[in-house]
Amino acid sequence: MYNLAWVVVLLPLGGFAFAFLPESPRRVAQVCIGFTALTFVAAMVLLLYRLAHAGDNPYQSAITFWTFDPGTKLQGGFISDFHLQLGVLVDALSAVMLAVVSLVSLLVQVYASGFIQRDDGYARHFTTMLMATFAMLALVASPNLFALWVFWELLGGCFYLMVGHWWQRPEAASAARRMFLITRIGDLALLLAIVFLFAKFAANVAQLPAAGAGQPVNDPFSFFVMAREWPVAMAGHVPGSGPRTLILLALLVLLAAAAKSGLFPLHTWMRGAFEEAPAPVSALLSTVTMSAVGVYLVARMYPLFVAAPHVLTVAAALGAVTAVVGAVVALAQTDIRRLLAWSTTSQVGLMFVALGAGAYSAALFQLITHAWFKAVLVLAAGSLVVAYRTTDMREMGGAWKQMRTTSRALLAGAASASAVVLLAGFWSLSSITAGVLRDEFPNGGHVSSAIKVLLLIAVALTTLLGAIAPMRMFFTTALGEMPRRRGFQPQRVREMSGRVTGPLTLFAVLAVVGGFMGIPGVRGSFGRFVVAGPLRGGDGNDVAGLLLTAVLALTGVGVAWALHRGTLKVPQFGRAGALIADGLHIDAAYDWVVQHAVARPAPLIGTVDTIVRDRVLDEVGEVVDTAAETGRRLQVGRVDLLTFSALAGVVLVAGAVVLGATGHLPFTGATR
Amino acid sequence: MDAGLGHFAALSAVLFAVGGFGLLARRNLLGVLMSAQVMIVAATVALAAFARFGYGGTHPLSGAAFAFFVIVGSAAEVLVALALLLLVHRRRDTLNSDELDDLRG
Repeated sequence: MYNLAWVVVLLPLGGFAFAFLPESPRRVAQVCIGFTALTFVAAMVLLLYRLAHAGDNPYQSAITFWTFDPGTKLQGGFISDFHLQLGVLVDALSAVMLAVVSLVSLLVQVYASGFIQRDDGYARHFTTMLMATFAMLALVASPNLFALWVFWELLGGCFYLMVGHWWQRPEAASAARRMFLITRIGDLALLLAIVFLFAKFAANVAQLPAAGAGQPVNDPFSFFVMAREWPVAMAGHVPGSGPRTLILLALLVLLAAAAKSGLFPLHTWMRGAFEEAPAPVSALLSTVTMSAVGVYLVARMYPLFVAAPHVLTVAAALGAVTAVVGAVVALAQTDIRRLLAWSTTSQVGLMFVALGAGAYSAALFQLITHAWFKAVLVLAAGSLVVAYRTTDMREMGGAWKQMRTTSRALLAGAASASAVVLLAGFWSLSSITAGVLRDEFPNGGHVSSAIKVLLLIAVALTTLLGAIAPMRMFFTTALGEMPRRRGFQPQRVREMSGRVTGPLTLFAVLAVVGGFMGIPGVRGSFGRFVVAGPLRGGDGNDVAGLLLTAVLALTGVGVAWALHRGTLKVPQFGRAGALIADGLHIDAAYDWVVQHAVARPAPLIGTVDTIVRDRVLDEVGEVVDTAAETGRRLQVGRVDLLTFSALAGVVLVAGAVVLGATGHLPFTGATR
Repeated sequence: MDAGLGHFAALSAVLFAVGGFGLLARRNLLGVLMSAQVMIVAATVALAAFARFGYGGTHPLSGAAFAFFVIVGSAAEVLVALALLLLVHRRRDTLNSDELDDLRG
């Protein structure tokens, strides 16, 4: 039954190939949506089966693409320890993620089929999205770190293409490039981690107890093998490695996750990805793929982080800074897409806080509820931008009358994002708060109480401020005054087709009720299902967390309402406000660094090139030219001389052969 | 006195030397061509002789077969070469190799 995971992973890939057959772009979209729907059905069956057999060991099936004969000992066995395995791994984490990823991708694609204009990129948009879905599914189901890295790169490439969907616009091309380059830092970090891991541990894998079923060779990158490796390394039983090795390795993995998920200060690609990409791409990117993949990586490598808990504290601190900065900057945004970009940054930061505080299941729970409500917000914002022909929220309003379905969905999404009581976002956010309050670690906590208080303040602040921005977005766009500006036609503000509103409504329903599995005390709840190896399972929630979140979130919603009604004036902060609105000038700082550290010295390289390399090449050319000039004098063109030299050559060669064969030529004695 | 391998080898060597001398000494391209043919015949004689006296591998006719191929090949070569010489003579009105030095670099 678990072999169904192969179907889940390979269906989108097959669909990708199949999507090149039809000629009409509409048919291409239908093929892509159809294959994603099949994938979702398979993933759902897999998840239900896994739920019914929650006690099973993780299932793994891998194909070894590259291995060495056991007898070979290349480089003293070092190289021959490398086995490239691609395959599927089904445990609670990947089963849940497979279902969520395929569902979000399906709904987003349906939305896109009504949203994307039938321009040149229609078919391209769908095929690339299917490829990205494949990459994400394969990544989630990867049984080892190396395979994960392969699909990690594929995912980055797909999103480079999708964010640059309207590549004819320089801004879109630049946003895609910025995202690609910044996430590239993470790619490099992950590659370094893999190389480092291999160098340190490959030789030791053979000493571990035999690998599980379905795993013929001890793959040093396998998550299971690694999980058994860390405690051994921590205890100092692996020659050449110890706690410091693990810390460095964990830091590299954390850096990879931070760049891909857009943690401060590597978050700057997020804004461009929201502003320039089509709304479906932003929705997919911010919910279950790019933003989520860093969280997933840390969750997957959690045994390593448990072995090196200091790095978890770093992750929590990084997440806290990101969450607070994101929430504050989101408040100052008037551009709807920028607001969403910052709010996403903030939410991802929260997930890292949860991971860092040991609230493993809470982080993944937040990842999933965030997928529901952020999809609603991004997709609804996309519809609003199309209807109002602007991205400035101040020029939107009155959508409740003209676009009732979208506005209702937006209300559900915004309320869920603000963690209003009983909605999906509430359960997940409160479980993060509870997780920070409590420690899930078996050894009774690793975070000092001062850090814990700081983390708690950060989470509380994010809950409060994070509730204001999405609700303000809803109040302004839906309940605000219909704008009166020149050339604006209110009658053109209307719903798009059912293919757009349908997925929105479904996402909205999920944003409301999709948190059911995190309700404390529910049997088979999320916290019980997704459990990291060394951690004790639990519901990941308690009364203190619930109460704190409820109070803070409702206060935030109240503030947003007061701001909207005008009973509370929007405070003006002058230059500080402008600084915050621009995202603390971090983009400008990057540009400055690039300008001064890269663009400024670049001509120097050109000068070196002219002076050194050109001169060397010129010299080579001169030598060849001189040789040719000398050599052509030998060509006198006389037939008799030509034949003479030919015969002389024959005599020389024949003489050499004869002398050599008879042993009369020096240096040829041994050959007789 | 029976003719042995040595006689044929000597004949071949003499023919080769005569041909080589002609190749170098003649100035008329027709003569050069004829000398080259003599050299080819020398090689052919050697092939046939070595085949006849048991150096031709497993099959006794293998060297002879080579000789046939060489004869056919050289006939074709003469055909082409004569046509070339004819054209050269028509254009330049000479076949003296000293005057035909167009390949000078």
